[in-house]
Amino acid sequence: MLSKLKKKEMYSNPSKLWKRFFFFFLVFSGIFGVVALAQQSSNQKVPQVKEKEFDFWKAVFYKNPFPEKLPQPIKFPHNTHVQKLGLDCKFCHYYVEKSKYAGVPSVADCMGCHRYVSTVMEKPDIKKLFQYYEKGEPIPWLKVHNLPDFVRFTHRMHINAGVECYECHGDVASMDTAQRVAPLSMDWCLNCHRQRNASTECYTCHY
Amino acid sequence: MNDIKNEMNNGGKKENIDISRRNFFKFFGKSSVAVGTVALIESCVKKPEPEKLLPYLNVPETIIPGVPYFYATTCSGCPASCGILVKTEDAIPRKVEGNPEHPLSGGKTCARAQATLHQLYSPDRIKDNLIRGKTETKTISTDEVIQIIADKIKEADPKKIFFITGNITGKTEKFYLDFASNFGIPYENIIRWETFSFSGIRKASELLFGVQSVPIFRIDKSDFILSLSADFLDSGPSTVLYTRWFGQFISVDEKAGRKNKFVHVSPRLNLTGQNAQKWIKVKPGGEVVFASLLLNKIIDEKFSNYSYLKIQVPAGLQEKYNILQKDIDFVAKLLINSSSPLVIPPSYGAEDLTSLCLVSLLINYVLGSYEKNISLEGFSYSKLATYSEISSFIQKAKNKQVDILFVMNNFDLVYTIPDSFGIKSALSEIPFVVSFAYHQNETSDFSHLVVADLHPFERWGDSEIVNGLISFYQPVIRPMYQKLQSEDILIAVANKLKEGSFNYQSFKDYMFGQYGFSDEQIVKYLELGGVFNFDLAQKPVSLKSDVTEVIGKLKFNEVSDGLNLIAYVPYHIYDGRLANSPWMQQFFDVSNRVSWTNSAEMSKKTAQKLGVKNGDIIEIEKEGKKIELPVAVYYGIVDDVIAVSVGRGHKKYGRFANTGANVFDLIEPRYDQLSGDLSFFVPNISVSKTTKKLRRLPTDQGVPRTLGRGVAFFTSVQKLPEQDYYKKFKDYEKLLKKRFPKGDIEKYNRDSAKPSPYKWGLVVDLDKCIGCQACVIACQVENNIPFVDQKEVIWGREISWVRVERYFVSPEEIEHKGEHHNGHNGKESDELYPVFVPMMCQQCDHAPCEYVCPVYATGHTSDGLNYQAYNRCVGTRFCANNCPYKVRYFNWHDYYKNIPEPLTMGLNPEVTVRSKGVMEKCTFCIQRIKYAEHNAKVEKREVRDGEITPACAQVCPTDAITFGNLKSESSKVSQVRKSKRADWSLKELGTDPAVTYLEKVFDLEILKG
Repeated sequence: MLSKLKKKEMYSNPSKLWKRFFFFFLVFSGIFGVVALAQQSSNQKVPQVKEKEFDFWKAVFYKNPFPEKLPQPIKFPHNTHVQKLGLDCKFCHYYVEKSKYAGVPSVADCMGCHRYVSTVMEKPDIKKLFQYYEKGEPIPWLKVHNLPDFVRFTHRMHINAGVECYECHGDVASMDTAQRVAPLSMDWCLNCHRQRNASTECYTCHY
Repeated sequence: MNDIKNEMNNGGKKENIDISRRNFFKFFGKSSVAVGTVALIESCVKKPEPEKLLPYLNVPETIIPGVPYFYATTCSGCPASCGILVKTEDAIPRKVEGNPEHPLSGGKTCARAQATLHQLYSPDRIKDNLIRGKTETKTISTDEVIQIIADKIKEADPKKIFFITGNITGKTEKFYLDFASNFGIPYENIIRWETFSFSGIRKASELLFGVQSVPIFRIDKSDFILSLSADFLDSGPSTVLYTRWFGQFISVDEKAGRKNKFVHVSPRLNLTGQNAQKWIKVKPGGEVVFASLLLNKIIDEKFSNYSYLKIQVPAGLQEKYNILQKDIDFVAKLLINSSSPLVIPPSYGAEDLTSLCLVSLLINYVLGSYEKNISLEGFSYSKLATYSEISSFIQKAKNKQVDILFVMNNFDLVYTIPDSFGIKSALSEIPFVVSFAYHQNETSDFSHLVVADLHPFERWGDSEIVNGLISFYQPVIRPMYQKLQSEDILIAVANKLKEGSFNYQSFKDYMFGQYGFSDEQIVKYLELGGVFNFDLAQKPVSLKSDVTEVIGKLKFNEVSDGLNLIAYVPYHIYDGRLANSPWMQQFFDVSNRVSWTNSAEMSKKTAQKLGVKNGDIIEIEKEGKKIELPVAVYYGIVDDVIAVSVGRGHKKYGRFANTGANVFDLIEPRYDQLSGDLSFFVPNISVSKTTKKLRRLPTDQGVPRTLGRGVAFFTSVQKLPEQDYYKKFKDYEKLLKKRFPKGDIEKYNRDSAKPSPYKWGLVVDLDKCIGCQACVIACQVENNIPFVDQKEVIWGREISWVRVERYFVSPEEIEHKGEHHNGHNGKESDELYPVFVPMMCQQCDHAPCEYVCPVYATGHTSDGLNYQAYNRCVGTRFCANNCPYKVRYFNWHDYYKNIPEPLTMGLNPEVTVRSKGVMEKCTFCIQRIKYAEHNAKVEKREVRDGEITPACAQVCPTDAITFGNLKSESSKVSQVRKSKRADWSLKELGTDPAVTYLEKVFDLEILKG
């Protein structure tokens, strides 16, 4: 319909073309405006930690496509190890000061203690650990905190700058299986960087 | 709709709706968010699998994940055995660097060394041992291999067992000899074979001085070099060593205003020739005539006591070869007047190679160079077999005198020996051929047993390339497929046949046991990379008594009037062993700048005579054998000659190697009479044009002339005293002031980030740049730069963050510094000389790309870099269009998807892999800068000078590139920058680049001589 209009005139006068675009986008933003607003407001909330099955809408709006608790191969209770036994985070995640990775303890490290802890020997998860060690297989943990490939994050620099583990990972000490509490979005990173007067230049993390 | 129609027609309610551009983008932005949300929802419907996080089973004590470690080992890109460091991260080798402790490499590498990593991760490696039965091929275990070999050796006559190995030296050589003596195999049956055996110079040394040697030419100690078709920068006996020395030799002494002189006499400008200050053209085969006349001339002029060494040149030959007396007089004068001259002959290929080497060595002897700058003892290539020896072996095989043939070290006999030798029929005559190979090749097809060997990066070994200079191979990765290296298998075989023939279980123990090292010594020497107890002393030499007879017998070839073909060895692929590296395939040949194929390189006149243009495909024929190649017109080649590089046209060397044509197909078994080396010169070929042609030649060369643009920087020794450093910098500041009168605020109009103590800068000394493009390949490996195929290169879509531009300048331009003669309006000069300009992102302070990015994906950092956030880039390509240097590259496709497994293992985990629609560019190796900055921050100090080296500067064998902090006065880069040769690319645009170029210095005296 429109195309049969005086095309020549239309193209000679760009302001009219402009209007066509405008109406097109008005319709578009009308349809999705609500969604966009919901998106914005949801960013304000801090997601609550609850034991629940995978929630589709929550996953969308919290930018967290994973259920809060991943089906880990072994249900590792952080709270037992930290609160009950008083272990420091760095006791197991010992690369955190030296490398970009914090490091997950090796199977041999787990065995180092657990072969002498006779009280829990019979628990099914500990039996699983023994099985992995005997088979010579690493435990296939699932990643709880996963950054995209275009982000260069180093644990080493954050720890050396005095950032505490719980500031990003939450109160892991009281969790049984570790779960994500922060959105790990760029907005969230930048907020902290601004508060601490750290560099906010793009190339600090993206190269 | 009708309403809209009316609105459109009569202007409608124009006043009511005010749509400014800003508002439009607001709505546009909102709706984009909406669309993005939909996309997000969609992606959430398919719930992504969480990634796995696998811990170690047992933690290796010495390794911290995510921290790079360097292991010293030895390069296998050519027989030169340079010491290298392999950077491994998370136990995976990621990059090859030179070993700074090693006397040959001195912390530098060539382009080939960088690509050895692609051999290791090649998707076409042999993964299983194969045995070929009458009907079927099946895989067998290593134990079965050992049993089969042992059985075969037991049955065979030891005199009929043959080995073909590489240039084995040191204890590896002793191992093979021990193995042979255990079973009574004669030592002669161990044939050491490299495609290029340096036999010409070896034989010449033997004839003159009674020693078979490849002498070491001390280029760094010389002040004049005459190269007679020499190739010491391309593929000489030790490319990196010679290139490093050449860098010292060629760089100008600014204070003294002195520059060493270098003249090249050759039919063709190879990489070595392109760096000469004067090119004297001769027809192929004319070098030896030139050299003989030169020898006679200098004896006449100054060294009359050597008059018995004068060579009789047949009358009329000088005219036939078109050699001007003026040139000979000129070179003779330079030779006589310089204090430590050097005449360097080629290492392979020429028609009368040995005569040429002989005459060159004679000139050196007459000039007394052996006492000043030649070590006769030289490199240990002296036991290599020549082509005529290989030919006699083939004859033996045909006569059924060979029962078992072991082909060691991944040698591709069938490919590297020209077809006309009959190697294929000879191999099928041998009852049992064992090929120890880590990579698929053509020889495997003719082998009965193919043993999956280890790549040199997975194995132990040693090499003694100069007497007393021992380099060790050590594994830098756990063997990827099979676990035992060839020597270990041979030890097992020997111990199975004869108990106790070796007292060691593995080759590693044997090697160190033979050296007699203690455990501490082993650790120490492995850390160092080897044992370096050697001496490059120059000793006086004496000629053999029968030299006059030898000289009397010298024969000169007649000029061949027809169209001739020269086969040359390319810098990057060497004898073809690196052909399956896609990065090496994309590498632009150092002379004709064609990638993904070899080409028929010819001069403009020859092309006109044949009626062909760049990119036309021609058929070259010699006695019924044909190859088809695209034409590449090149300035640096004499008329009536076509040059084609070897090392291409593989049939079974993997998925990337089958490009171009194999020029070995045309080469006939014609030997140099004195040494038995093969002649790479094919006279009287016939050429016909085919109907096929390429859309465009796959080259990175644009207009090869400067056309008065400020892109190539050159001056002359004569002009140098007039140039003033202070004036240059003041002029430049004025220029910037004029462009931006208000200063910094106009640069970006941005809130400046925190002030940084650093301003990173680069200085490129064009006088030292030899155009080898090692920086290009180092950058590609370091920064995960994808390769593109030939079609994409033809479209001009290749990605190389640093490229080496080449501009040819004429003597007139040099004289007037390009101001008056732009090479375009004036008469075209007969003589042109290249200036190489490595062009990387200039990290401009007033960067034109930054203004135009609509999404702020590119911008300026506090330390003066021009960053590119790949995840933010939407691919408008405005920045690339606005960049005057054309150093921004666009990913037209998902090029990373072309990289097959396991080649992806070599990717640098510190750099993002870019996907389709993303612009990318050089960032001065930001990951290295960040790594050093992090280290400094943790240690609470500033980054030290020299702590950061970008990949290009690190690899550069001539040290042409210097990187550092421009804000610090004491840094090396600031010191180098304070030169009267400093200049900036396209400075009149006022971009204020962080890269400073230092002019190349020509010598007008030599140019006009």
